[in-house]
Amino acid sequence: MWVTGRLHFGLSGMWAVGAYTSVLITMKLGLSFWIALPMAGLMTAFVGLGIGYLICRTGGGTFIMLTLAFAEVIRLTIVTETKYLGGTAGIMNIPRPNPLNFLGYSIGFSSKVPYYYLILFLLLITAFFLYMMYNSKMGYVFSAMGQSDNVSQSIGIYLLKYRVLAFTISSFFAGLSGSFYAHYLIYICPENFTVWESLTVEIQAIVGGLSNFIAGPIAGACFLIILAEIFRGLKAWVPVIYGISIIAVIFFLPGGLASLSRIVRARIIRSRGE
Amino acid sequence: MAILEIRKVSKNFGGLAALSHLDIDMHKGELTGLIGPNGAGKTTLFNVISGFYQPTSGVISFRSENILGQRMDKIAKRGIVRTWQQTSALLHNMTALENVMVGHYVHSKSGFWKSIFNTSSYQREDREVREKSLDILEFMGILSARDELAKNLPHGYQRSLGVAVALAASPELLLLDEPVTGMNPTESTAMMTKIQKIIDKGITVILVEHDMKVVMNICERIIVLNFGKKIAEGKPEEIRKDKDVIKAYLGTRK
Repeated sequence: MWVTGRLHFGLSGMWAVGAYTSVLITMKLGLSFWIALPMAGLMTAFVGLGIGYLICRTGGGTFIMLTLAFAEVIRLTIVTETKYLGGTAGIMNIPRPNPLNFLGYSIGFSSKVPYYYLILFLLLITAFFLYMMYNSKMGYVFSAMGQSDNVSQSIGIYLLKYRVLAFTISSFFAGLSGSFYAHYLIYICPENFTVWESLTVEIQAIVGGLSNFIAGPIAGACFLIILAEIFRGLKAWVPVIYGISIIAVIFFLPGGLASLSRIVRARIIRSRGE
Repeated sequence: MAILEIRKVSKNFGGLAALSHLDIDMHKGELTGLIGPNGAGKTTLFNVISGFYQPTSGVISFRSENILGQRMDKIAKRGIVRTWQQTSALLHNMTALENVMVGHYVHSKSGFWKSIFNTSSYQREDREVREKSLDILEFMGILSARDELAKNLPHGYQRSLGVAVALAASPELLLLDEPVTGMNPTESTAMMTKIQKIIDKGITVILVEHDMKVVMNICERIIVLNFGKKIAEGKPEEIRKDKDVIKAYLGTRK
């Protein structure tokens, strides 16, 4: 969770936990995707709670390295565990979500369109939850911690508790998206969960703007994915493009893309005033 | 009965004794000044009382309960709240009002889910917090700056806001670390009046300050530290004449 002033490079590990939990639930236990999805979220949140409790007491660089190490440990575990997790070869033939029956209509998941609406729905739920949290006292407490450890503690905020809470919440949503990812690709392997994936998310968040933690990451993700699609022919250059965009944003737009609207609005107001 | 008892507290940094065998009693509703040359251990003492540092040895009890070794946030919730010197004193990217509201929120009761789902009991509490925060800003005389970001406030306002944030956390014992440093004479006189009013509310205050005029004017009792030891304690007029204190500040005549 970026708000509390920390970078978290372990998201790929959390996705992996979500994705594999969901796959095991549907394939080994034979339960429906609609049960596996929230279960994957809860399982990942649970893992996040444990890991967070251990590593959230460190700060700065150490914290970042530990999240990185965590993600790699998860990935390497999957690589070496061939019996249940498929090892390097991955798991194939993951079942698609069961058709939803809704007012007599049956919505199957054989084309991409229902997936689009499903992820849109998940995104809206996530954004709504974060929005409510941001505007509640939790939002204040989290952003206080991001600004000054000292002041936060001296007014009675137990830093570890709220850091672990933030870590757990972010793990829950990462687990949900991991589960979605697995049943969308219907094939997963450790290669899907490299640290590069976590880095991509962080870059999207920074390019989008850290100050607004809902619109920022969404704007950043849209911008960079569209950019990557435009340069699709030059696939090997995508990391370079990301690199250039992050440098450009830091130099020219420290507030990120999400701050554009504010800047534009300020310009308009100023030009009207003159 | 003392509200805060400090017994034989020492704090070493490697071989350096920042505090050695300090004994201090604080009584309810008292305003005590803590002075001493640079490096005397004043801020270290604040850090030890507020739980930011663990003392090397000694006992600290607050309202007859041992608080030694407790976490800073627990000590804050028990009623010992401190302010910070310049750099880390405020939440810079929040408005003045939000700074004070955070101070209140820590003590408000609504849990995680209630606050996120904005239940009516949370809304009521939220309104109360907002009103109380506005009251505190008004009390500190900075109500006009309530919607300004803390980092954009003039220096004097920032110092006042630091005290306001601490007051929001409803302290019984307030540790003020250089509240008037860098203020102009008008601002510092205003701050002195505020501190008097804080005392009138029944809050006990310890004040670390370099501005002797302020300390001598408003403190009932002064404690002088030098090299981590208490070298004098008494009324302002006694301290002014004390030989050891004069020696500590000005050195001895050769």
